[in-house]
Amino acid sequence: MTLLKQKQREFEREALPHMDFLYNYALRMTNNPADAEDLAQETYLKAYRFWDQYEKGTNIRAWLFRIMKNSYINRYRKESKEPDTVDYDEVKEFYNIIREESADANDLQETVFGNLLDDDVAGAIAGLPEDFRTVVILCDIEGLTYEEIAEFVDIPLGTVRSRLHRGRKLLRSKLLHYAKKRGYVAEE
Amino acid sequence: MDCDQFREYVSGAVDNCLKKEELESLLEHAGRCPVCRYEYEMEKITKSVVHSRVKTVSAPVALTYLITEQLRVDILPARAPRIRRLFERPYFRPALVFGAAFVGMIIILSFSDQATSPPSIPSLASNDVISQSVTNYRAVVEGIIKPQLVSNDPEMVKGIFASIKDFQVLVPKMKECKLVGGVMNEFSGVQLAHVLYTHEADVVYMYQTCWETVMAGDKLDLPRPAKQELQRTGWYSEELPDGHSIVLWKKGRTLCSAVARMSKTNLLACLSDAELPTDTGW
Repeated sequence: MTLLKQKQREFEREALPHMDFLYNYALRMTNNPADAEDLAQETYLKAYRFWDQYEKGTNIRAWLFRIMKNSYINRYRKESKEPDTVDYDEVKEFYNIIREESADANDLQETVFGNLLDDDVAGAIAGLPEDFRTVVILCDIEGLTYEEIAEFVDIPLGTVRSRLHRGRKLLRSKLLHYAKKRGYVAEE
Repeated sequence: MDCDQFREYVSGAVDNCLKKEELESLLEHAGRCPVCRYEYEMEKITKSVVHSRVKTVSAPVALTYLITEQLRVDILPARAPRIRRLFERPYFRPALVFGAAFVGMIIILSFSDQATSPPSIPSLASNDVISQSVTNYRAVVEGIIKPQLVSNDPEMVKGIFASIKDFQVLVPKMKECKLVGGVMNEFSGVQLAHVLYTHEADVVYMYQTCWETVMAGDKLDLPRPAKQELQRTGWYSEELPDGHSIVLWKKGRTLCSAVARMSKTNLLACLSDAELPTDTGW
């Protein structure tokens, strides 16, 4: 077998099994299946071109993830509004309304979030600032540990915790916004 | 623990990532501070909503195949530096063109007295699935094969094939294609299903039969490279002459082939919206 064929087979054997993970991340970041496919293709082509730079035995999924994240940033960041700040007024309003509506968190889950469509939740996630969106996806959808997230995103553990906390808080305000639009919570 | 520290650690509590002492301290604070307790409950709910409502999906099978094909096409030229250096030498290209033209002339002169069949239909055995697919495609385009039922309702089209028991007939949704209908027949006692689509002004023809029958090779067969590739990856594709291409894939007990007047990349892209198999071996 030629060296090139060997390399191709090795790459296919080691990198392609992570397709589902990468595709799901791309889908949640772009919220569009066609864009997710494009991003996955671009990632794998780049990964193959730089295959010699991958250190065998290290976390290949993290390596592929970083390539995808950089591709996403290069492709989509220019087009996005880059809302990297949390709207704390909106978050404060959320807490005020919640307290008026119900003191029982379980009721809230039932009446506010329980009736939301899956697409609303996916849309709310897609609307998060990129840094928060990434950690929420990796933790709450993909089930990665904090250590894995820290390695993938190349941030300290403390930053993982704080981004998750802020990201989920912002996500709640977005979910509340969807719930208001659908009439599950009274508009002010 | 105070409220600032609580906010720093609350995600860890929700995700069961705290040490025992940290969790105890956090819960103790939550017991005293209703605001922080509420925040803890809210964060648990948020995680639960995301986890239960947003499910992971499998990547489209055609995507895996597309990437594999692109690796082979896209990367190969970049990895042939010797060939590239050869091309960069002066006078190489003119010499190559002249040489190719000379060889071409010799070939034409040698075969000019022979009747040449158009290269559109591969010269394979008549029980070859690829050959049959291409022949049937042409017959559909020329109006020789017509659908038994004309309908864009997949359930109605599936109804034509109710008597087929050896394999499950698929009527997938195809990107940018319109379902036209279907027809059923037999070859050497083997049941065949044909599903027709249009893509813009062109036909997309789909041929389906029993996978085991083709692999057995006596009544229906495939060329060896196609058979091996299908067994290895669940997919095979080929560019055909005149801008056509064919893609074959396995789903369960069904062997499918699709023929259309477009590149295999574009044909795969049309198939990517279909609920295609996951048994590609990855």
